[in-house]
Amino acid sequence: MKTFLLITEHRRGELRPISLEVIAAAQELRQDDDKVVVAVIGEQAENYVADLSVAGVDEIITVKTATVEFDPDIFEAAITSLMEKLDPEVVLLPHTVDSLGYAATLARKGNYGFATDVYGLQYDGDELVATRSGYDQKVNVELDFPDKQCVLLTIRPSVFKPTEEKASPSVASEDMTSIESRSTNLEFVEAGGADDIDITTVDFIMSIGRGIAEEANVEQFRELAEMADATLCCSRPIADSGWLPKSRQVGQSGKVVGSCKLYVAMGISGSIQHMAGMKHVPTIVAVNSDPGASIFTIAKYGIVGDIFEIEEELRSHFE
Amino acid sequence: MPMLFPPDTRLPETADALINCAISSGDLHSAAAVYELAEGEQKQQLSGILCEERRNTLLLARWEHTPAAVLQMLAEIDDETVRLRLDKNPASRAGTLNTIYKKGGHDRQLISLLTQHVHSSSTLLNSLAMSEDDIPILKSIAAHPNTDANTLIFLEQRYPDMFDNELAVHAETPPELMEKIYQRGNCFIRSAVVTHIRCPQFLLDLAFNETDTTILRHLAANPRLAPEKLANLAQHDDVSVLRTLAGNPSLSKELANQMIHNSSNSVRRALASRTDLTDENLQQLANDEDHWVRQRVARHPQLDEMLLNKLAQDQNDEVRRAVTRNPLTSIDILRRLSVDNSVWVRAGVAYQKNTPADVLDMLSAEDDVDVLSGVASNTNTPQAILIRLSGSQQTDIRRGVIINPKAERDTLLPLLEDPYYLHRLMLVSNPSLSDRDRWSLHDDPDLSVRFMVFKWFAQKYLQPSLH
Repeated sequence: MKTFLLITEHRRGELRPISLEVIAAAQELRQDDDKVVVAVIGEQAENYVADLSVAGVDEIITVKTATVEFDPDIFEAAITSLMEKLDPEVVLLPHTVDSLGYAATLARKGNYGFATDVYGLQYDGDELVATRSGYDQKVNVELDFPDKQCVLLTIRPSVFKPTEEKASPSVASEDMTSIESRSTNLEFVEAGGADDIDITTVDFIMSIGRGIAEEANVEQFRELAEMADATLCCSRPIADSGWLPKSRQVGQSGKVVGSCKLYVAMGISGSIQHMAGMKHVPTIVAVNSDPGASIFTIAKYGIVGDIFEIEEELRSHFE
Repeated sequence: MPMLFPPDTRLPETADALINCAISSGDLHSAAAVYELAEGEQKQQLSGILCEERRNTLLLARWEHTPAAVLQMLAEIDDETVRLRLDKNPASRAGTLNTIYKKGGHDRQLISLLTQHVHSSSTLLNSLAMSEDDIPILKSIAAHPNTDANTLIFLEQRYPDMFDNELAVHAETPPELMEKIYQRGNCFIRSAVVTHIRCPQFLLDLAFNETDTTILRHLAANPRLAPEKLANLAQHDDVSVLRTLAGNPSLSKELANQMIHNSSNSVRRALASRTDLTDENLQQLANDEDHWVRQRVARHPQLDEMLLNKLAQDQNDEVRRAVTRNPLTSIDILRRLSVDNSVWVRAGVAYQKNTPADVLDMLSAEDDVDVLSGVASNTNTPQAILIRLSGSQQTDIRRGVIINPKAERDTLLPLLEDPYYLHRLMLVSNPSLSDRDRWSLHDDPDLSVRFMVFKWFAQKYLQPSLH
């Protein structure tokens, strides 16, 4: 029997979706007699029990700590304590900016097997094999962890589909309010931004590039995106010109649209930098007047044509 | 990464020195960048570097930045995979494609790619139209922008009906062919024909009697439509027809006045984008209930101060933002909007080319990335602020400084060591930097930066007048 310890995340009173994805990832490995323990750490950890009570979870441990928001020192100490108690074979963490703050330290101190940004999990016999990418996402790398009693993996977001099936796992609690942080929080500053949309979490994106030619044309695509219930994003030159906020920029200089399922690229030639942010999207529709545009090499559907004509046709469709 | 260049490599003062530098480094990308510049023995040596390993040859054949001269040289290599990659490479020129065709003309995949390549010549396409029977290949020829009218006529005669979709939109399709296509086409083909810049007048008249709204919508956009026909279409009850009509440059002022009362937002939005609106029209549209209409008015190139002032106080953020982007907006209004509650409006002020230095100075104290990027890229921003912003932790803000044409050499120098390779790449061609500055990137760890440095110097020697 193996024990899997899963670490969850929450922010500003809400469970982050990756928490349920980590639970889904664990199901790839668990066998009948294995135990899946989910830990939720925070000042009001008990608030998340209902959301975490899903199929595939055997036990939820609420770990009460002294701070409301994430603190890497406290997470590291709390997880260390849990691991000493549970002696898990596998620890799964979300691959997020939070886990980057403590996962490597945890693995190093405990001399555990360690891999980050994992998107494939399986057992090859008794050997745990984790898949992550290498060479700038060009190859899949399969890693095993010989002679490691415990393996700690951070799980890539938007890969494992969470279950919606509810369950009633047992709930235990731990009081770790005595753990002190090394950090001192002076002030909480809300991240400023021209708009509040997190493009990494949306599933339908319409994106514009140099092909729109001038700023006045942005409006019609914003309208179209609104009509189609899509989120309007852009390539770097558009954001650099100030035509759309930086938060809408896709690519190496911008963001990777991890949850996107449908990406409509309008007038985007497809530089390497842009494609780094969206080439993984399952359905890419590219519209470009240049048949040699690189974007067509990754598009599932390509239209060689004037983006304004296509915009007009789509608009008429939605009207 | 092993060191490619000795630490004391000096700025090459001549083309010869530049080529020798690339040769002695053995660096693939530096060699590719100077290949066109070299002759004789040096060219042989560079070819040796470029073709020494097959994987490098394959890499160059596919790389979109590989210079045309290198692609031409690679086309001579007897390697089918290289040829296929060259054929997919948008940078391959007509000469390269002709070479590929001569060497591997029997290959179906190669021919198919040739007929889709943007640089395939009309002669080559014509010759393929004559010799090929494969329908998808002929379809590609019919769709190719370089295919001439005679080839299109020939294709239509060979396979009537087969290529109507392609012929209906092809710029070279002659009027007589258009008539044929129109007569037998469905509503989409007819729509394409009435949109065609060479569509004969009698076909437009014919289309006017159609009942299909797709055809009428396309017809309504055609500026060659007679005034009475435009007036007639203005009575149509389909929104999409009215919307495209509202954008027709030939629409009379009377019709525009009439349509401004249309209940459809789409129609009024299209009208608000017209540049020939009267003051009364603009006044009316500035009060429109639809914020998209007001946004378009706020950007209008003939708006007076009073309306701009009114729209600058609009309750909708995007309307106020549009005011900041209008080149006619006065400095007074910009000052007022520089303290707007919406960060996106303030960012609009930061990007506006008329915003004065003191307002930019004030905005530079903000911490929002959009506002600061606007300040960084604004040509009115004082140099001292640009220097401060060039040290920002945020990549976007540093890039704003890099793309600012007024950023001086001293401001840019620290950015030559920017951690983001794209920034170093952009700096290579920055006119504010000296040759010595840009040469300092010749041994950059990123291959695209090295390539760009050598290419910049190669171009300097090839076309001295441009530098």
